[in-house]
Formats: sequence, C-alpha cells, structure tokens
Amino acid sequence: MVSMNLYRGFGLTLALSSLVLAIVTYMILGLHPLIALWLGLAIVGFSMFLTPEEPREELRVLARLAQAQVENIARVAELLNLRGPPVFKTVEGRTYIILSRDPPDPKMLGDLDVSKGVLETPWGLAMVLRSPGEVSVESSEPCSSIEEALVHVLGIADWVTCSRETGRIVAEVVRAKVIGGFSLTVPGVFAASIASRVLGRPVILKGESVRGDRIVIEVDVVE
Amino acid sequence: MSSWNFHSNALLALMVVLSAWILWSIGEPRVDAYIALYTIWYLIIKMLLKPKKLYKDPLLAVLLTVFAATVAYRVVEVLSP
Repeated sequence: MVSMNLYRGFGLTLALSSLVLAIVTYMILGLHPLIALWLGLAIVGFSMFLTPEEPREELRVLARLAQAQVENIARVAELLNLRGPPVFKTVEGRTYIILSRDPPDPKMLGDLDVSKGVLETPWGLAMVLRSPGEVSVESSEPCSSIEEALVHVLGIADWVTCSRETGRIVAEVVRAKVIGGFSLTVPGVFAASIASRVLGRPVILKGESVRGDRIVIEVDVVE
Repeated sequence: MSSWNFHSNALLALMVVLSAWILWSIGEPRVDAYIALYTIWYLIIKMLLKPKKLYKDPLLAVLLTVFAATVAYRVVEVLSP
C-alpha cells in the first residue's frame, strides 16, 4: 500500500477539482477551451498523484549500510585474492555469497553446504558470507522483483530494464544512487541475491559494468 | 522524491497551460485537439525524463485510449456519408 503524502494529496485534489470545474463549465458556460484547460490540469493532478513518495530516511540509512557491507565484502575478496565470480545461494530464506579464487563449477553449486564459513570445493577454497542484499518482494518473477526492490522498495535507482533469457538475467540499472566500491556494486549484489531468492536456485554474478550512474548486471542462473 | 519526477510534473503543467493558451488564441474549439496535444506532451516528457509512476502509470493508458477513440471517431466522421 502506497502512503499519501502532501504532494500526492495536492495532485489528487487538483485533479478532482479540475474535473468538477470542467463539468460545471460545460453545463453553465459551454466554453470548450476552458473545459480543455480544466481537463489539462486534471491530467497534471493525476500525474502528481501517481508520483511515488520520496524514499524514507531510514531506507537511505539502510542503503548506506548495504553499501558499506558490499564494499567490505569486496575488500576482503580482494585481500584474499578471491577473484572468481561470486555465487549467490539461498537456503531457508537466507542468501549467502560464495567467493572463491577460481570460477565455480555450476554443476556442483546445488550441493554446496553453506552452513560453514569456509568451504573446500573441487575448484578450491571458498568463503561463505551472508549477503546484504536480502530483500523480501511481492513479485515472483526475477526481473520485476529486481525492479521492485531497487526502484520502489529501496529507491536506490530511478529505473531498471531487465530481460531474462534461458539461464541468464541481464539488468540495466539506470541512475543508480548507490554504486559501491571495488569489484562489487550494491545493485549487482541486490539483483543477484533477489534472483537467487525468487528462483530458489544458485546464481552466479557473471559481470557488472559501470558507466557513470548506469550499471549493467549479468546474472547466470544455475539450472 | 527524485527531482526528475518533480520536474516532469512541473514541465507537464507548463506545457498543458502553454498548449491551451496557444490553441485558444488560434480559436481552436475542439476539446479533443487539446487532449491530443496533452497526450503528446505527456508521452514526450515520459520518454525524455522517464519519471517514476505508481501502479504502472494508468494515466498513460487512459490518455492513449481517449486519443485512439478520438482518432477513430474522427476517421468514422470523415468516411461516413
């Protein structure tokens, strides 16, 4: 449920009063250009009413915390030379990041036990951390979930264009307000965590390319 | 609120008032001509500034439906004897 703020309330009032004025003008004056002007103001009013509320201050604080966490994870990965693409796996509602030196074997990700902090895998030692990108969303489709979380729940991006092909999700985050540092971005970690959570499968954050405030995120879904 | 959302509404208000003023001053009496112009401005602003809208922007659907209905009515009006 979206709350009504002053701006949206003013928009709704403008829209409804303009519609009433248009009807009154039609009945009393019959002046078509004036009716058209009222209808135009009604459109502006509805446009204001449909404008979402500013992300709350708590959400900004949470976004900054998430940014710090993602940056710390990236720093640890760099320190330990864990340069393989990070894997995201959700178990019992908790999402974990698995970092390793070499690229993981997708066939073996389903059986990984994430209850330990350090794992010995066929492709080498791996570190398991809790993902800071655990967001509960209503949508059950990964692309709309990513958009819902980044744009509407957290407000850390203005919009997301996302496509899902067989085994791959590509999301372009536009006007990202929080990017992150080092090798990981906040939208990338959130997108991969949400994809893993929604699909119930491990995913690999294959690539993130940052160009200004645009981030293109590629996530491979392990079938 | 993102400043883009705010600016898009302010720009729409400006364009609506300007359009109404211009069409009124050239003596255009048809309300559907005004609404067609508002719809075009709404679409241009949406494409350029991409403001966020709640509920997947039902206003755009309403405007496009009215626009399509008006065009269809005008076409039928021209074609009918």
